[in-house]
Amino acid sequence: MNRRLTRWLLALYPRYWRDRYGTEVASLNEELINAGETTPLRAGLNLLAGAAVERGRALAASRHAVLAAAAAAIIMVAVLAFGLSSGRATSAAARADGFTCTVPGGVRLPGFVGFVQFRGKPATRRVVVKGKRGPGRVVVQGKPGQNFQAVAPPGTKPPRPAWIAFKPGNSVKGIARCTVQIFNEKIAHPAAGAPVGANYVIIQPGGGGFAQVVVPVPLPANARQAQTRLVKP
Amino acid sequence: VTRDPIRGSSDRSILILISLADWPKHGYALVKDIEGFAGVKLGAGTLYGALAKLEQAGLVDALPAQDRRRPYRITMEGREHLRERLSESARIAEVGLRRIAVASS
Repeated sequence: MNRRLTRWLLALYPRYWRDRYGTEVASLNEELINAGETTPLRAGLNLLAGAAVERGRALAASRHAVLAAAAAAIIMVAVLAFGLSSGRATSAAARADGFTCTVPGGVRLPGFVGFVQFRGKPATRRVVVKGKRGPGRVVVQGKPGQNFQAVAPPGTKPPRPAWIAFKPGNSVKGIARCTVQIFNEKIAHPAAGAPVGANYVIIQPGGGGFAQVVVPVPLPANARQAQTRLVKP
Repeated sequence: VTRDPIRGSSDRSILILISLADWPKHGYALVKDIEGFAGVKLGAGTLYGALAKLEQAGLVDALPAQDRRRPYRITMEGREHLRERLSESARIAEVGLRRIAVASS
């Protein structure tokens, strides 16, 4: 099998695969043929079969991504609809309390959303934060580099689970009709009831739409408020 | 990529891990070694398809290329995975052999 044919057969592989292994495969093919270990025909068929397998694998991965994206879009629409209706009902309470937050709850992302493959590179979306359904304070605490967990402020009932999808590496996309402040204080916030020494995220009322929180790793020293952004729906 | 596709795949991945268990090897050395101890002749496409999966799963590592040859070595995780799989195979083989012995006695 000549080099031109090998190149042609390698062109059938997905590009990332070809870029990574193409040279090695061509070299091994040549060695095997020269050593009489295989015939050019068999080597060619083997490459052809390999290309089909790799193409199938890439297709499966992209289909997985498309399905997950579609499911996530449906869930986002459902959450948004729920959030808009519940937000209207609780906005008065939010203003009165001054520290009330409504996190659209009762939605649990299905397991298959937890793993999304994008262009063959796996990216994990973990569901790590529990918020609270309905009006009430929600405190999300954790340290940079760790997962976050919602805790109930003292004297309140533990929050009912309402899942918010967070990306790994503390890059957070929350769903909350609130503004979000990130504190890096080494004392307990009196309103939050977070333990001493914890970095924590407090979700406060006042905003609308979706809150997107990016927690830098590590949090800058003396950071009173890190990056927060509200994205209108 | 998790270990599950590796587990569900054919024995090629295991043959490659066994071949790399003693020291790193490049493609041609892998083909010859596997043929030697298992009698299985892998083509270039088949070999690198399995190697790509193993590398993505973190079970093997690519070393710097020498000429056009790039050696691969088994990782600690790969070694552990191989140990688990071989122990499981040995246990299943033992059950099978025992049953054959009982049936033929």
